[in-house]
Amino acid sequence: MIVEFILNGEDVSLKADPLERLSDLLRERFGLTSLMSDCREGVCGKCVVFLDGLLVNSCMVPAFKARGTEVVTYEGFKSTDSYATVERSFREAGAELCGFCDSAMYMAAGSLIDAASRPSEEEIMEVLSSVYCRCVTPSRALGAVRTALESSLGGKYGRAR
Amino acid sequence: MRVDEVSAPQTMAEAVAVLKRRPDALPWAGGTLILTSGGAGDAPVSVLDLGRIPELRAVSRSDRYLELGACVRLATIQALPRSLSLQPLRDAIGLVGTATVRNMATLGGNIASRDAFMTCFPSLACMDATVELRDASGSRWSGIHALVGGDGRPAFPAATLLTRIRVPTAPWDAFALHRLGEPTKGDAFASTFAAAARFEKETISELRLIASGRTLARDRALELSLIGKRLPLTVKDVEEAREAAGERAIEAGFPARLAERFGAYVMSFLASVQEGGR
Repeated sequence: MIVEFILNGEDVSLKADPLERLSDLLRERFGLTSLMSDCREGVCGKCVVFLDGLLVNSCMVPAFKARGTEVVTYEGFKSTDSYATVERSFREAGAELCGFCDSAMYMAAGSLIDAASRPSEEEIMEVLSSVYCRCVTPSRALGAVRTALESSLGGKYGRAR
Repeated sequence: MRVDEVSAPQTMAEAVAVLKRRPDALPWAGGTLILTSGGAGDAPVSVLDLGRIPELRAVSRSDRYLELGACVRLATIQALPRSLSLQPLRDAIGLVGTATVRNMATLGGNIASRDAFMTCFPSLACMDATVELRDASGSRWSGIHALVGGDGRPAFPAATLLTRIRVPTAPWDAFALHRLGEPTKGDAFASTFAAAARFEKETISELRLIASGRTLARDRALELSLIGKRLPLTVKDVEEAREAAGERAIEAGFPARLAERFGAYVMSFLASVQEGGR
């Protein structure tokens, strides 16, 4: 089937099997290797993308579901202000990532900054836990996101909504 | 799984028309369960993509209940105001996948599984949820137990769509939820236990004790025998409840060790109720 969607701001069209996974399409057809296709079960989180603004596991998105959607990968996310805020905050928090899942971690953090309402600490940890990262401690990742939220929202970020 | 056709109706009428033409069509909401369970063999499948039907994503509420379209995402339900008494359902949703999976997974997809009862089912059963089913002959509302066959197995009717779920929002005074294993892996021992109780003047006024996995175990006679009893329950009452729950689970086809676990959870829940359990 023909699958048409917006990818990192550009219209794309390709022929794909309806059940071909979006993670495979993005890596193999578009060369977007920032995302990994490891578990293919929605567990590791290393394949996350923004699909119509929601952070999802692209391995759980069949090609037919991508039709008519807007997909943003890490490559597209890197050009946003949210990325700059997240990257700086992780660096300042000393949250050093090994390079294997940092794209996914940054996008997870970015989804919290872009959220319509201020997330609670519990919600922050829920989202960050979507990415199976062994490099950074949960408290340090939480600290990085809190810094990012303070920076993007201005002023001191409260502990809970 | 091979797909020979993908239909993406924009209305329920169009969806029902597809089902009439292809009764074997596979309804696809979020699809997270379908993709993790591997689908249905090599025979070509017709996919019915429900994601573009607005009424299936609607959320509305009245004084007594919350009404959710079957394609409402689990993350959307989690984000509903805390003032809504949905704790049994929220707790169950919190056990499903990760936050990113819950951005895709839907409530309808979770409870319309044909192979086993998934995590949200027993919570909704505790809450006396009702479901709207639609097929070529029309739509009807049923208690969620209509999706349980006489043998305790899932009994989702063929050529039928789950369209809405109504969840009463009357609060429960005590609730417990335990999940063993991972239901999406086809683990024969994966199961979820849910219990809920209401009290009135130191008396149990409502009680639900439900275990589900590949089958569903619920002993309504046991529940009724404890409703009306004054707290604290006697040791004899709690012990008898443990035994009855375990026996009911065995009858429902639960493996012995899971049935024993169900009994233990029942005992634990009733013990917490004794202590004020709120």
